[in-house]
Amino acid sequence: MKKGFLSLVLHAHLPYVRHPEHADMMEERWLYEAITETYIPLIQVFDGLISDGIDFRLTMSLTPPLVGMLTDPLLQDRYGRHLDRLIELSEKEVDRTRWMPEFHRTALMYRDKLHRIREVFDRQYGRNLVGAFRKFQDLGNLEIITCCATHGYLPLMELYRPAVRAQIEMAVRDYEKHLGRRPRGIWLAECAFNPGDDKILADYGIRFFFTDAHGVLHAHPRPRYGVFAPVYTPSGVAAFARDLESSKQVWSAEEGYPGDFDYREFYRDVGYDLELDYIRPYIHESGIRLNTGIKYYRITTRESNHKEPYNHQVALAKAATHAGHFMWCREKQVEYLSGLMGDRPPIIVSPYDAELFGHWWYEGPDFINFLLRKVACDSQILQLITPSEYLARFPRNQVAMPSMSSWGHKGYHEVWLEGSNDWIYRHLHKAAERMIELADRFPDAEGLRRRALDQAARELMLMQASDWAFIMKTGTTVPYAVKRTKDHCVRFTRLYHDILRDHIDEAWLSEVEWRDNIFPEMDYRIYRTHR
Amino acid sequence: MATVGKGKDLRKLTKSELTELAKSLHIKVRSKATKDELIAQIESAQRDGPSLAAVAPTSTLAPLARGKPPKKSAKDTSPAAPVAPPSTASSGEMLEAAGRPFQPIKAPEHRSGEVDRLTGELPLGYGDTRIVLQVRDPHWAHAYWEINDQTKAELRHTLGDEGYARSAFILRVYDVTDIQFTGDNAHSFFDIHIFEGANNWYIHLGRPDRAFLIDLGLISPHGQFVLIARSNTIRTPRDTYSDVVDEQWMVVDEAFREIYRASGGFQVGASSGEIRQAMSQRLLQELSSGAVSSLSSPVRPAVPAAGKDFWLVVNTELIVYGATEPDARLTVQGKPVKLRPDGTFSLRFALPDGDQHIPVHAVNRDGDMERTITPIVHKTTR
Repeated sequence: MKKGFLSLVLHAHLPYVRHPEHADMMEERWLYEAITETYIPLIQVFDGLISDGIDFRLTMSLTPPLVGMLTDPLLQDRYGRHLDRLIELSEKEVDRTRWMPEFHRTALMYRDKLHRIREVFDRQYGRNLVGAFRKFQDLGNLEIITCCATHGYLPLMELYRPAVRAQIEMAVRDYEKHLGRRPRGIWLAECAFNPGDDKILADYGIRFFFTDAHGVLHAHPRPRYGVFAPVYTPSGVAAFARDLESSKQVWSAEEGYPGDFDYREFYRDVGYDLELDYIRPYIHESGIRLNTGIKYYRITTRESNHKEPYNHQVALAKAATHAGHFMWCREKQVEYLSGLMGDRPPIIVSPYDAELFGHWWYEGPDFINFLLRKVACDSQILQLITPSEYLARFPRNQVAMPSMSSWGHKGYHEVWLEGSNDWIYRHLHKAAERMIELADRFPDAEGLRRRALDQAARELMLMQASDWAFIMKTGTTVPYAVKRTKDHCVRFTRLYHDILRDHIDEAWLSEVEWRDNIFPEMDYRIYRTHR
Repeated sequence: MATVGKGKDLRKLTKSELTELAKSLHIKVRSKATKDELIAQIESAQRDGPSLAAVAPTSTLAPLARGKPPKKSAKDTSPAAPVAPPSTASSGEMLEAAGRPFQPIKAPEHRSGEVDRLTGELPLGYGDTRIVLQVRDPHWAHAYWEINDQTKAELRHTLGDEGYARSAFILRVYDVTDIQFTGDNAHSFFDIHIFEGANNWYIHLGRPDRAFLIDLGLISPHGQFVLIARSNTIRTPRDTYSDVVDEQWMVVDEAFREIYRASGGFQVGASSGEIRQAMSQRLLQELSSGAVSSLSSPVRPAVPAAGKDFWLVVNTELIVYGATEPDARLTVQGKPVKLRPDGTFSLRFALPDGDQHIPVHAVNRDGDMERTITPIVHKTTR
């Protein structure tokens, strides 16, 4: 047996940014970029590993809003057209850079990569990327877990337990619909755990979740193995804790791998650098410049704005070096921990936002590729494992209640509850209270009232996405986050009053259903107090 | 802690205190607003706020409910069927169905004359009298509250107009760890004086792993406390490892501290977030309709040097274009070029310094006629 386990966890999430009412909604590009730069490259990595016979293990959360968008025909269609335009641009770039060899090789790289992405998207998986991930799960290499239905921040929903429960129940139902079985694990939005929520997870058959390091470290009673073994909460759900050391190697702005000078520079994009008439068809239809994803420079230096041309081969070699370094560090960590842990081999849990790999760190999917290959083939010390496999192998674990915690800055709720966003909670809470009131009052609604009740539940859930508070805090695109919060609240409030007055404007309801179409299977009765 | 009970005391506040207070009331403050303007705005909000709240729940909805009849009638009006357009429809059709051309999402008033029935402002309150307490971290909590008109009237009645005017609003914070609170059995309590107009407050508790609740009330000049609303109970999280050791999973203290250190226990929250936040900022940057209206410059500098505010970037590109028979075969510098249906072509090259020979070679369909034209371009940059 190997001396220790490594469990890589990628949390894939985007807020629900589908806007059928707009032809060119900038926020939808969040999805398109993530598909091009993260989701499809990861699928390519997994397919490559499988065709090479590498027996890898990886855990990924696919959040319900992301699954909803990836399986939505309108967004699939729009992405297809987005990709066509990008390919057209990449073809032009191959011509344009013909006399500048230092850029030409990168132009060729983009053209070839984009053609392969279209191949994967259209032909290989028939536009259904969730199906691709499901395939890897069915093969036993990937464990897909779920997340709170709309990435709702559970500790700040504490007063309304049925709303917390609904976030879990909707997620479980949605997972079952798309992945054909019930989820074994969950990524709690923002890794935010509130003691007691584990009971709800247990009720839905969820066997494990994750906390930040201090969630398990500050558990009660004291966890014998620190973060290097899970604990069972009193309701029997396993809590795995994030390892900070491995986190830092990737996340840290100072020491993290993604800042290496050989890696691709994000900020120099042809969408900003090239002449307007040439680039106009590929930026926003209003003529606003934006990132296209075609970038020719490497990070080069932190000290000045001087940038050197990007060399993908050099960057790939660096990603391989970093993967080797990461593995070496984990091996040293395991060897050290073995002395402290006695007979229990340590498990190192390394969770990251999936979009880090590819979007933020262009070479990230290659790093994952190299790392999985190296650990699976070369390491005498480490073994890749999923949480489910770990629990099957080590069913006996200490019982302890993890502490309230999140993976946000400072480790608690401050990111989502501070001056920029604290105003939202009186509205979120009121809406949750009213939704529960409606569900209790109308236990068996039918027809139009049923539709209105289901839509009210959708509006509440969309309003509860932790993304809005996060965006308000980070200070970019704040108007969008504020507007989304207000719009869903206004729509919810009108539905609430219309339902109580029994005066539902069907045309209006239809338009709201058409705009906010998340969870077609929504059943408002998940909000009832007594189930 | 400043104690400002009444509106008339607003003049005693500094401008920055007034700005803070205004923000807490969600009043939009112009950066150049004078002190008098600020006071007027705050007083007006204090006057209107509660009365607005009293009619609140429907107040923002009124224009929606009574607005113009729906412009678009749903395609499918049968009650049971969802009305989402068929998934195969192109977004062009959908836009037509929505009846609205693209407009960047921004303030709805930009839509000339049309009330957007799907958006609006939120009420200041919901006509309740209540206080809600939430944990922020092991040392801090946040409370928000609302006092409706009826409660205020009752308070005036209880205290008399003058007594009410001379009373101060306070938050009384009780430590109720492991007890069933009856109103007078708290382990300890402390008071925070708040502005009358404030509707939320961050509270420094400073005690991890304890339970708290808050009474919102008025304190009369004689020290009499009148309860307005009592909050829910919260429990702050532990900020270090538990004292309790499980016998089955026991380990000596030194060994535990070593595991704790190896687990990053002494750097909690330190490494979380910094890149995540930067990443999301970058992910979202300028990729939002919200940014549309604020971004007027068509060209972003190619990263101007830090500390210098004047910059110039010059690039040159060369366009080679022409036409031949639509069914001819054409190469430029030996590489095939696809002709448009009318036989024209256009190529664009980034032009570095030096000489470029650009032979354009065309052969007719039958392969028995050809032409070559070779532009030669010399570029120098000074």
